[in-house]
Amino acid sequence: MAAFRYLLASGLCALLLGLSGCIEPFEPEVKVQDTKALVVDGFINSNGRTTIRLSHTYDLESTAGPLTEDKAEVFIQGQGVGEEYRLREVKSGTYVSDSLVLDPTKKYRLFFRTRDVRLQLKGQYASSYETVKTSPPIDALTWKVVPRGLELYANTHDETGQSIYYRWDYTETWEFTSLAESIIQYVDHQMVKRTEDIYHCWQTVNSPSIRLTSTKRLAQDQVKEFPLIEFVEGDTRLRYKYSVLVRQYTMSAEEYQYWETLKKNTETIGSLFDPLPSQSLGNIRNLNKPTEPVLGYVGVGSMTQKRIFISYDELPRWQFTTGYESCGIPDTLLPLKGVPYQDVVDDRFASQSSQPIRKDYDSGYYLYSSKECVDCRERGTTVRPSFWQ
Amino acid sequence: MLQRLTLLILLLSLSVVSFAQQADSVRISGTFNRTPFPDFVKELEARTAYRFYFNPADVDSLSVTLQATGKPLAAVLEQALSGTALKFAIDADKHVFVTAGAPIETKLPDSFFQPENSGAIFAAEPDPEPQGNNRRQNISEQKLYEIGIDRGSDAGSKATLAGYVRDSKSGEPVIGASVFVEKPSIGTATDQFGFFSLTLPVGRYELKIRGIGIKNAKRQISLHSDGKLNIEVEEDIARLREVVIEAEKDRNVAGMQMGVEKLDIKTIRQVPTTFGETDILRVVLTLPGVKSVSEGTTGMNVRGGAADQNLILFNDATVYNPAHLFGFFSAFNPDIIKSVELFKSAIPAKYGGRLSSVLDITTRDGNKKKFAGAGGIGPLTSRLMLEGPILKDKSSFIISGRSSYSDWLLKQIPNKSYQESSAFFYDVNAHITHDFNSKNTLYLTGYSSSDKFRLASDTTYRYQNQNATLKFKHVFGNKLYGVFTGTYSHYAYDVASERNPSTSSRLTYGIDQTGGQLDFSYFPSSKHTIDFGASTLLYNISPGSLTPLGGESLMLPDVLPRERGLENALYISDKIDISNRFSVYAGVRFSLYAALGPRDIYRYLADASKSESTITDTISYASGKVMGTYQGPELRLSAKYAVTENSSVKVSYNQMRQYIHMLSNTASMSPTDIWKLSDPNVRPQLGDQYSIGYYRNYKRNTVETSVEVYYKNMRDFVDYKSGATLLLNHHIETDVVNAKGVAYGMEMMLKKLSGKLNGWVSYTYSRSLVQVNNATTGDLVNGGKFYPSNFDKPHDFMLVSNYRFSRRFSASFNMNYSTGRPITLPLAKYQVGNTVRVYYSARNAYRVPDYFRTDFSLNIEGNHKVKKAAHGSWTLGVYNLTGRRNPFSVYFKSENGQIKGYKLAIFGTPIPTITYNFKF
Repeated sequence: MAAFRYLLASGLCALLLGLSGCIEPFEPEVKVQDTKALVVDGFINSNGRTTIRLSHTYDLESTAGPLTEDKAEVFIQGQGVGEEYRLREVKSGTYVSDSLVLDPTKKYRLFFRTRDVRLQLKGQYASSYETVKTSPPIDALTWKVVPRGLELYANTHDETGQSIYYRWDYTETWEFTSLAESIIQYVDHQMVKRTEDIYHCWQTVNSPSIRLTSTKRLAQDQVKEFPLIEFVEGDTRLRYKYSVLVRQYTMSAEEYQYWETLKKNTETIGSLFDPLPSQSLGNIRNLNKPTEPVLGYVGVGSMTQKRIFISYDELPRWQFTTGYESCGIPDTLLPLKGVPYQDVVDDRFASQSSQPIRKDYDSGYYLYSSKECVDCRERGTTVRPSFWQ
Repeated sequence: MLQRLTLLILLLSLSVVSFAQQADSVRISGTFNRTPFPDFVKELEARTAYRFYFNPADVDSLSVTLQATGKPLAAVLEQALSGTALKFAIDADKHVFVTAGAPIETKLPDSFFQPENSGAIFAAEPDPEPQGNNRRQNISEQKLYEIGIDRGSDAGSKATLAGYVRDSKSGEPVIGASVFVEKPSIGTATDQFGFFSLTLPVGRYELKIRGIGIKNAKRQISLHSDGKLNIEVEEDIARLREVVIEAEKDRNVAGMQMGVEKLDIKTIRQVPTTFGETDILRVVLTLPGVKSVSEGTTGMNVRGGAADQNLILFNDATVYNPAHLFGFFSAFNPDIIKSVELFKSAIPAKYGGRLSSVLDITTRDGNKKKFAGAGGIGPLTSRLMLEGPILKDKSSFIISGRSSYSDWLLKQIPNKSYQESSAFFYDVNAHITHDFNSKNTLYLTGYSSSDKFRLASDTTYRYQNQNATLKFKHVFGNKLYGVFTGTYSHYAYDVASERNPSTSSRLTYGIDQTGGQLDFSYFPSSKHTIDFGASTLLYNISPGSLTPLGGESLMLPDVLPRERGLENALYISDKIDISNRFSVYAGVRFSLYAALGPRDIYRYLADASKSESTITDTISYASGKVMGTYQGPELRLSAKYAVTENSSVKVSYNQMRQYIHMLSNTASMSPTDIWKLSDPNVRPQLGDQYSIGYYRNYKRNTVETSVEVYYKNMRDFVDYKSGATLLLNHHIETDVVNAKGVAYGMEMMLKKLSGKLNGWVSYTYSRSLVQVNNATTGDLVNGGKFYPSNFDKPHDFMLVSNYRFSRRFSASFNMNYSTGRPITLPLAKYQVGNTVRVYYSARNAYRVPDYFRTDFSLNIEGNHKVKKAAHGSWTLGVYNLTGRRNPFSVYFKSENGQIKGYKLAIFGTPIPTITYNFKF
């Protein structure tokens, strides 16, 4: 609807002005300091290593990653008595604790001091004290073939009835092949046999969306077949072999609400005709300046995880997509009249943006395509993951 | 001038004889070719002993072409004045009076020299059972009307005079005209039927009639006992002739009403609009205190209220979507509209059900005397209206239609997806009035509008409004009349998507509203006007259904259960004139709402935000079972104190309740908005408003000024959780939150509605703030602090002006400035859990650029011969003269990992338009 209204509006405008005149870049005047906020990513692991990443918000138009906050002193603090654990900075902005077992009857928080380049104190921050939420194990990851394709479910339960609020994130890995297997390689004006396999790869992706549910309204604290991941029929991810590592967290009602809001906000970017997004902060405050926005919610608990594999031979005989449909079929490098074929070859492959595949059996000319289409490393890695079965 | 003339006649013509014989004795010969009237008169005065008296303004464009040989003066004058509205009268002293409209009675009323209440001398004219044939509709202003039976009663006793004020040409009732006597100062206004009731001490009066769109009129009456007087007044054809408004007792200062804006169709027509279309809602948006979220939307925000808080009544039937073409046009054909009245505060107790305002649109009654028509041809639409008597003077019809041909416009756009798109709308109105007799009148209105869009040949949007009103009016007597109104409103939309055969589907929504109401007006004495009545409304909503379309579709059907609700109300109000200076209006409305089954209602945890995970129980209600009720009184109080003759202070307090809510996933009104009834999980909205105003008129009431200040509280109106899903949501209450609102502001207005230069200038400072802070459920927006609503535009300046160069040429100029509307901006990106997320500002913390627009239009009338086939007029206009690119939409897009902002301006260039209108 909004889309149509927009289309109609821009259509009217196009008629009056020509399309170029209707739409102009809009750069609202926003004070730079309003766009700056500290970001805290991670949770206090009550049974293992805690990893916390400190970074900053970054420009909307930036294509680089965020700036990290390094040289901070980061602690896990227990409420009351001076129980404190220091986290070490393992790489810029990433702080890791020793493997800890925290007292589940106590409350803990994250506390950190940030320092500038000259190691002068910038700010002192702390999350609110949170009770330890121990996640029950994932009972099973199950899947089913449904009319639309395939659904993968999480199943868990907590006999004590304490967990109630569940969140999952996951890391998917799947095997895939590029457009065509390249057996030759252009090196120093020479076509030589390719030594490295750039046809078979593994691609790994972190969960793009937040997955939440609650058992509050159920008689039992049990999650049965919560749909975690959906696949359309013939999904590329299932073409050979697919694996997913699902991590399960439990949390307090407040943290659940934070994630729920964050989830809804990520759906749209915001325009006059879209649902209104809103700021979702978290449970971290600057102790000296409580109004400073700090993003992130640091909960306390244990995480449980489970991995599952799905192989194509377990599935119906689907027509799978390759993910390389847009590449078409490989081109044949035809000779040009009056130009030596070697020159044509040099011209085509010198920049490496095109990759040779093999010689055409009939004509003897090279088949080739763009590097994007031939080299699977553009999308994944040829290194077989250690967990791969 | 005319008054002085009248006086002159009274002084001079003490011995009046029939003029006909006298005038016949003088014969005139001569040839006049395009001679200006004053010259013509000079010539006649030179040749005869007659002296002429006339108002130069009446005749300034009149020229005389005639040939006479030995004709009597009367015949010559008749010929000279034929085809004009001018009348002449000749008295015994060879005075010729040329007047506009009614001829001067050169004969004094018989009773002129009789002392008042002298009893027996009067030939009493009893009026026990006035029938249609003895209704007094003589338009003579000098004739003395005897009202009631003279029983020689005491001078102190009182009697009630009642009747209708009607247009002499079409028989249409005149609404809102003041009917009053000056000594003592007692007056009233005609209601929506043109009816008035005035209780006066018995005696002799000059009754004056003033109103918008009519010529000032007066009647000499002698009131003996209760009686009737129907008054026919002439339409003030402002474009044809200018009226001299003298001592108008207008409603700005003297009226009880505050926070009311009334526009008649003539004012509306003067305002330049986007495509040369006269657009009612667009003009309403120029009034102080009325705003819209963005250009090209018709959703109104009145005094900081949401778009769904306006009750839009089209002849008493509720209109749910008042827009065509996604809001670029209003859904009302201007040809059938009589007037538009907007109540912003001091809302009469008769109205209820919405928090912010009542927009009462009334259609014209058809011409009861002769057939007529009108129409227009514009760049996007054409329209035609026909009217006429069914039974002469008894019943009439008016029918109008409008249709777009906007398809060709889309075809012009050099883009395939537009060329495959189509957009089409139409609306049809019909209205019938029938007078059974002077006591019983029936009104019947039907309205239908439809819109259809097809987007790139795969998605079709359709929506329809259908309304019907049946009104029966019965006059019980001079002091009491009642109206029964039955209404039916239907609004529905459907969206058919056929992009992919396997996902083809149709989404539909529909609302039906059936209502009945009884309204009575009782005039016990000159000090009281009592209105009372009862109403009932039955809502029946099908909140959404998704069904597969075509044989290949794999979509699973999803149908939301129907919602039903019954809204009943009782009201009574009294307008009390405590003294000449001080009047009070006190009213109360009691409304009772019941949400009805059959439906399943979810129960939620009391101390948590409503969400799927906090549902505790499901309760099934059988058909017709009451699922929950809400009720409460709504007070409506106002008072007026006249400080001086030209200035007054008014205060008012208003309470409103609203049981139906619009859910919109866009910031403006759109066809896919959903109306949701209150139920056990969605509370009704409550609002109250305090306002105070100072009103002062200048220059003999031709210039009106007003300052109004208001403060408004709103509770439990619907706001959304971030990213709410509204379509096909089986538990919509989980995505909405109850918000609290505060709005306040000051509206200043200077208005001149007569003279060569007319129009208004207004400045409004207003704020509209929202708070979502529910501590028990944890629903918070912006940390529970107040934040600006979507339509919070603090500064708003408006100039609407029209300058009449001559009777045929007038120019209109509009100027509008307002603060840009608030927006929530994405400020930055950040990374959490390996994914990039957007960091938003606090809700509505920023604003889009300010809005500024100027428009100009030129109206050219055809010639003004009264007798010709059709009157035509041209309107040439330029919309957005400065070509400023006001934002229609601001949006953000993610492009290659970058998030970029864009601004879309639709009317970002001066847009010339031309429209031809005709009337026959």
